[in-house]
Amino acid sequence: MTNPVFKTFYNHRVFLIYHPDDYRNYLLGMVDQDSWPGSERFGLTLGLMAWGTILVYQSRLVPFDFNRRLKALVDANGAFLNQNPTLPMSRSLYRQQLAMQLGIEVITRERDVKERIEETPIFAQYIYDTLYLLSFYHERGTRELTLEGQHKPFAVTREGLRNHLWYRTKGDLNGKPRDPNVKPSESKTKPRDPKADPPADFVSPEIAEYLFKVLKRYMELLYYPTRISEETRTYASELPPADRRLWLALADAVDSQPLLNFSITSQETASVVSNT
Amino acid sequence: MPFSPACQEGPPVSVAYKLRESIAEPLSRQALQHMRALRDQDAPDLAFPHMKSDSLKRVVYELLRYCRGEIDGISVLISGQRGAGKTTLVKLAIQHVMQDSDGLIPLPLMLHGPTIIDPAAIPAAEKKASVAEQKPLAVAADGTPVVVVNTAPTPNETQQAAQADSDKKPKVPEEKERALRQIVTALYRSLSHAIYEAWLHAAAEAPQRRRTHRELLALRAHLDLRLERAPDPDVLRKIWERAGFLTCGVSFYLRPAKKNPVTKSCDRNSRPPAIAGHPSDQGLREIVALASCADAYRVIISKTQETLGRTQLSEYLQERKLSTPQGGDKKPEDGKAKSPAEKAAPPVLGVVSGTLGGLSANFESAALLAGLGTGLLVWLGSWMAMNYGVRTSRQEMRRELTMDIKWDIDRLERDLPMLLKRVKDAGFAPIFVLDELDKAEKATESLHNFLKLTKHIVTDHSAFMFLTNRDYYEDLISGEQLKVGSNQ
Repeated sequence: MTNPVFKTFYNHRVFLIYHPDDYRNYLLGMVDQDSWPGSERFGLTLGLMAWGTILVYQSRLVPFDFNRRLKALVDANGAFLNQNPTLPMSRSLYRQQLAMQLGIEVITRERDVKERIEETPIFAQYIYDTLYLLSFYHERGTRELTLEGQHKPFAVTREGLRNHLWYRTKGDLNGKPRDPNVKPSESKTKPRDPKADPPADFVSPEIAEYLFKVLKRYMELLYYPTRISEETRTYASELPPADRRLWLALADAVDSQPLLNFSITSQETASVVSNT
Repeated sequence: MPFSPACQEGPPVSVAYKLRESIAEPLSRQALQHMRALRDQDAPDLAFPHMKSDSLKRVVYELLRYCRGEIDGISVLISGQRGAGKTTLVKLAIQHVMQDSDGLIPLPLMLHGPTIIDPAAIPAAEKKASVAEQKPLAVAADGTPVVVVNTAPTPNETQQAAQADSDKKPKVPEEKERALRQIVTALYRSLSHAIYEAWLHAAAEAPQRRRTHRELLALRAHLDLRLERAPDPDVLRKIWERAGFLTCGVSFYLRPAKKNPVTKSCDRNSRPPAIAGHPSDQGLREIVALASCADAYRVIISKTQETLGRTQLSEYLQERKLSTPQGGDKKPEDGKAKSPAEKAAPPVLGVVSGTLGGLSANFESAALLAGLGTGLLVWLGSWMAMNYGVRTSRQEMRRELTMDIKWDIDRLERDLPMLLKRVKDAGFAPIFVLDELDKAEKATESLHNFLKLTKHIVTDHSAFMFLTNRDYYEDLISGEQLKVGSNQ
């Protein structure tokens, strides 16, 4: 067997993905710090880091969305609508988002995940997409509201995870919006749409299994947020002194209240209740 | 009022968080203007706080090699999810290379990918042709063009239509034709724009300039208008010559102005690098590049016809002595009418000479008659000699060679590598950016079709950047894995 024809089309292949630190550094570069008084520099930098972390979570690591959300924070002159640097670490919603983003970063710093991310850039995209799955639940509320008007926990399965990854890959399900009038029970009986459903070679079962386990580790972190603080402090201890202080202060902003409840059923389905 | 970080939610006490001003998008008008202008040392620098990754460094490294001439072509696939900043990354990389390149100047050509690779992006050919063929045949009194549509074609038109139909038969695949049209258009437009921009700085800085700054700016405006119409080399040569740029050229006045750390002043290295060519014919190379691209561009904007003619004439002269009287087909010079005096001169001379010979010998009448007879004989001999003696004949062979130069899409394909070479000779390194490829129908299939047909151009002669959605990258990876695993 020879190499496929298309293999030699490109001398170089780049898969573009930025990591959370890139976003925070970008925000620090975007804000004019020339007029900051020396005595308040630490607090202001910390506030900006917190804003950066929250915006990363809200934008799910998409630069376009990050910029859009950043522009929503400023007025016509480019000044932040909220100038208080402690706001992102004091308002409960922001603290939750801060904790959930720091939790994601704890997972991506774990050795096995880190190695895979460094080895294959597309894998980094799968990891982040998997971890941000919970952010969609977070936005939708504590439980899922069915078309029958009942509340039930969010259910995460391996197949559901693959569908989510496929949706993130295609972005818009090939231009077909989800039909809100179709009941979930009906959609199951429908024949499979080869365009809308992930093909067999998309995210193999082994990778789906691994991603599901990573997601489970993340859910455990969110159930015990103090572990997010601890892991973040451990990470901070490895940094230069100036950065260390900032990261220790960020770790302190994480609330100890569980951010979700979850259980794994006998069918290996994670049942998730978000504590928003 | 001092700022207090400890205060809780409430009205802002001071503006501490404010986005920087003077943040320009890479390759924006402001960014390019700022990079190239000779600024005061106190002028603030533009900020580019864009996200930077290892991917950016890799792309910059490869493009710098391309501009230094270490590689002739490069093709880079840049994938990422929608909104990941692929276009910004490429623009930022090109801007970095513009700033740092000591070789050729990057010439970015931003192309809309779907227009090139998506068959749905092209309207029906018939519609296009009918619109194109409606040319004004007359002009009304007020100057309005009058289009006369004659539905009954003349026999000559029918023949032309048949010829046109045969010409319409696809010689170049549709994907390739679309790509060539877009690529050549972008190449000519971008080169024209870059040289127009370079003129601005050359008009102010070039030591070889011959005219006042104001005159050079007027000449630049004239150049801009002429470039719209794909000018001939003669036109360009006159403009360059009048400005004094025929040898030094203008291209490298597009290099960035850099602050000198020692003198703290801003200066520009406008000397052409060796990789472009000899410095003393830089201007000529610019004219050659512009004129070549203009020629190719003409194929796209018009139906150009060019006929080259050459005639060879050979002439043979032959002299024959003989014997048959010449016909009436004398050459004009041979058939000139002789005057009566000329016609009468030989016989009269013969008679007179014979008579005088007879008289000198004897005055008797018999002798006189003999003399007259001798004179007549001499005349008769002269006459016969003149009409039946030497004869000149002339043969001619003519050879006319006419060439109808084909200004069609095949020409674009043949000429594109040469165009790219000449653009590089002029000092520019073309970098084609095919953006929005994921917006095309059947993006993977269309892109592969395009690449199969144009790989020799894409990878060997120029830099191409393909910007695609992440699913294309995933298809590529999984396709390789499947084939490896299944022995296909």
